[in-house]
This record gives sequence, C-alpha cells and structure tokens, in this order.
Amino acid sequence: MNEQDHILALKSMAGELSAEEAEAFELRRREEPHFDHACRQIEMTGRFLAGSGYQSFGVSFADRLMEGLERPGAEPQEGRVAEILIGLFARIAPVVLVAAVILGGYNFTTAEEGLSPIEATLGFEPVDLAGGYASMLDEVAYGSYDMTDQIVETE
Amino acid sequence: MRGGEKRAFHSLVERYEPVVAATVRGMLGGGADAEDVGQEVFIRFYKSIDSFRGDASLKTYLTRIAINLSLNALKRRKKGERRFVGESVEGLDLRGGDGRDDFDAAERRRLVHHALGQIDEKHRAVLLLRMIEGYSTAETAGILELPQGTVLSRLSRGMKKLEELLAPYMDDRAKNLEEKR
Repeated sequence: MNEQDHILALKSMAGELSAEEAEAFELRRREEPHFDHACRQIEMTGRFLAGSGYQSFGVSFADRLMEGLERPGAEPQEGRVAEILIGLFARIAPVVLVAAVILGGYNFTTAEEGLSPIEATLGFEPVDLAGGYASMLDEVAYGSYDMTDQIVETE
Repeated sequence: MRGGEKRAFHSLVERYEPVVAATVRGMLGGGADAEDVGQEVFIRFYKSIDSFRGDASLKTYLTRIAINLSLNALKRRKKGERRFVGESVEGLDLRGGDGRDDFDAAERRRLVHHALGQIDEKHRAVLLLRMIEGYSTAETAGILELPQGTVLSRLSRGMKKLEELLAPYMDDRAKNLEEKR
C-alpha cells in the first residue's frame, strides 16, 4: 500500500475524511479486496494501540511533586492556580449557578399561586427594561427615589 | 505557596497526571528519569502559570510541555547511550496457547511500548499522540507545532514500522482480540 492510501486509511479510522472521501474510500474497499485487506490490518493495529498508554507515575506522585514545589524559586503569582481552576469550570458554572438559585429558592407552595420558579425566586414579576426605567423616572419626579443609593464610594 | 493554593494545585496535578504520564512514559519508557520529567512538567507549568492564557486546553498545554521535556531528556539519554528504557518483553508468551483468550492489558502495554522504543523520536511522538492518546491530526499538529501534512506523513511511516514490529506478536492474540470486538 502506498503512503497516500495508507494515510487515507488512517484518516478514515479517525473519522477525518470528508463525506465524499469517505464514500469513495468505502466504494474502493468493496471493489478491491487487496485494498480492503490492507485497511483491515491497519485498523487491527490501530485498535491494538488504542488505550495502551500508561495512566500514572504511581501512587503519591502529586505528594512528591508538592515537595518539589516547596523548593525555593518555584513561586508563581498568588491566586493564579485558583484562577485557572475556576477557568476550567467556567463554561458550566453559569448554568449550574442559575439552576442552583432557581431550585434552591423555589418555594414549591407558590406554584399553586401561578408564579413561575423565576418569579417565585425573585419575589416579584420581572419587568422589562423600558417599564423599569419609566417607573424610576416617576419616582425621581415625585421625590420617592433615593438618589444617595447611586453614590459609588471609590475608597 | 498558601494552603489554599497548594490544595488547588494538588488537585490539578491529580487530575492531569494520567495525561502527563501517558505522554512522558510513552516517549521515554520506564526509567527513573521518566517520573523526574513528569514532575518537571508540572513544575514548569507552575512557574509559567502567568503565561497560560487558556487559548489551548490545559490538557493540550501540559502535553506540549511533556513532549518538549521528553525530547530534551532523550537528548540527554543519547549522550549516555540509553535512548529508551523499555520493559522487557522476554518471557512474555504472547502467541502461545496457554488458555487465555485475550491479551492482558499490562502485557499489551509492555509490548506496544517495547515496539515504540525502537522507533525514532519524531515518529514516536506522532504515533503516541495520534494513535495511543487519541488526539486528532489537527491537535497533534498543534502540540508538535508541525503542519498537518507532516504529521500524517510521519504517522504513516511510523505505523508501517510499528505494524512490522508488532506483527509477530499479533498473529493469534490480536486476532482473538479483534474477533471479540
């Protein structure tokens, strides 16, 4: 089998052929028994290799490593490890947070009052932005809006 | 390192140790320096943690460090004429009819890594990432900083060599394994 065909077979195993390439490849396998046999051999070797990697350096690797990190000169910026760990879970965090707030704050007895879980959790019916802004303007105009709430302390 | 930082990094090491071990031991085989290189991977990561921008996944980032440090270790080994410390396959009755239906996973691992040790480093790195660790061609190219065409060419040549090396052992057992799938 030449290198081009060999690469084709390897790409096929990994699902890296386009739809057209995959169709042509399968057709050729059906029509050419020698080609099909060579492809089977490659697939067999590939499956034999898959999952044969080592999984560990042995027990207590992390403990031994931490001892090494205690040596002088191995100090990164404080807080960066936590930042990266947070980053790893950042994709699912908003979903988990929203689900936790809704499920944690939902009083199931309010369901009988016709409130949605979000409304029940927030304790009021959400209003749209325009409505909320108009309401605030009314409060300012009639003196019931406390402007001191808007002062931001810089120190 | 503060207590909280230490615990966080410890858990990160435990989580990613299998990835680093697979890469380093795949490249270097056994030997005392394999774990040293594994530790060095995490120490390098720890020291350069500020420059990790999160563009690549942490797994890919650590694998890249592991490959580079393994290649450095292989250069050091070459000077000492100890290129790959493979586990011996002598005494493994891989083809005999001793009643077992299947390759034991540990035997298979030893056999594969013994064969890998006989393949030069540039082909070994591609085989390891693409065929054993399951990275795609594009990911492998990214880790090794090579064009995808080069990865595929090295993969093909490496696989042909590996097929030759494994063929004597695969006759019976691998076919049994295959039939079971």
